[in-house]
Amino acid sequence: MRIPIRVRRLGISLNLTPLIDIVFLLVIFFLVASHAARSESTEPVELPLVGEALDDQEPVPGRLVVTVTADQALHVGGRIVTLKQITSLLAEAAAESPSGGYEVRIRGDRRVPFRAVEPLMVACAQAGITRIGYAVLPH
Amino acid sequence: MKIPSAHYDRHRDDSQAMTPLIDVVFLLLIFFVCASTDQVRESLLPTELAGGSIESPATNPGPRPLGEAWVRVLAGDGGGRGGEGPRIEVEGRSFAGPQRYQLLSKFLKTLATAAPELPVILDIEPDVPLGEALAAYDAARAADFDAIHFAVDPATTTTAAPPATR
Repeated sequence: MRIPIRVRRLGISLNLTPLIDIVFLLVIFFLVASHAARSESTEPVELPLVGEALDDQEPVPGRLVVTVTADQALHVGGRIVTLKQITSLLAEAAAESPSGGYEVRIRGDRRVPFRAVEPLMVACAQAGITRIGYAVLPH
Repeated sequence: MKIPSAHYDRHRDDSQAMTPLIDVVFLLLIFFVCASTDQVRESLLPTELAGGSIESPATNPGPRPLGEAWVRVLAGDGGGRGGEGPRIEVEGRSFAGPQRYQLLSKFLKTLATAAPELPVILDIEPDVPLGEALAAYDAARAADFDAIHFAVDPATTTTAAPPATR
């Protein structure tokens, strides 16, 4: 006679695998979404190499990222803009944050002549924006 | 005859426990591979400008510096695209060749040790590549001067307000 064997598990088992799967999928989604939101950094440039580079850790209330590509074109938010448009953007930014916390980040190609970047610095100074940072790579 | 009333399926449990482990490990692997691919961590070279007019107030409490150190970055023949690259002139000295920034940094550190209050003014020719201009600025920062300024061509601005840094 065949006697059925009753299989019994010990305790209550909670399967966490689907939960971890979903959590990681959410993490990947937000990583990709935040990367897409920072579309200013998508223009390919060869950044200058310096030895005194700092880590970009300090939060700022506002930031305008201007990318200067090797063909001396100015990009803001993925669009090609003129210096006049940047000047008006800087004026608006300076009016919105009179405390002076606004920062302009210049991502310039290392091969671009200084004449393409110099007007940006002058425009920032004239708009009253004193915080400028150059995106660089450490040696 | 003794009949087992219950049988703990330990072997089955062990084999099942490996599956979610492999699943999570592979998910972690894919996550880190995707996160690290094509991501170059950018650093920052900060610059503090003098907004608006750069004229200093007349009531400057500090001692007046005895002079200024002008660092002229000249485009040179190569213009940074091979060849000799830019030439740098500081206080009558000229630095050229591949070791120019090491020599400039050494000279500026010596100068800063003697007079850190000396304002350094970077006069960069328009044709100098940005990478070379920032290398000169980086050398001045590394020397730890109190003030570093950029000289600006008056034709660049209509109100003659050259930015000053640091």
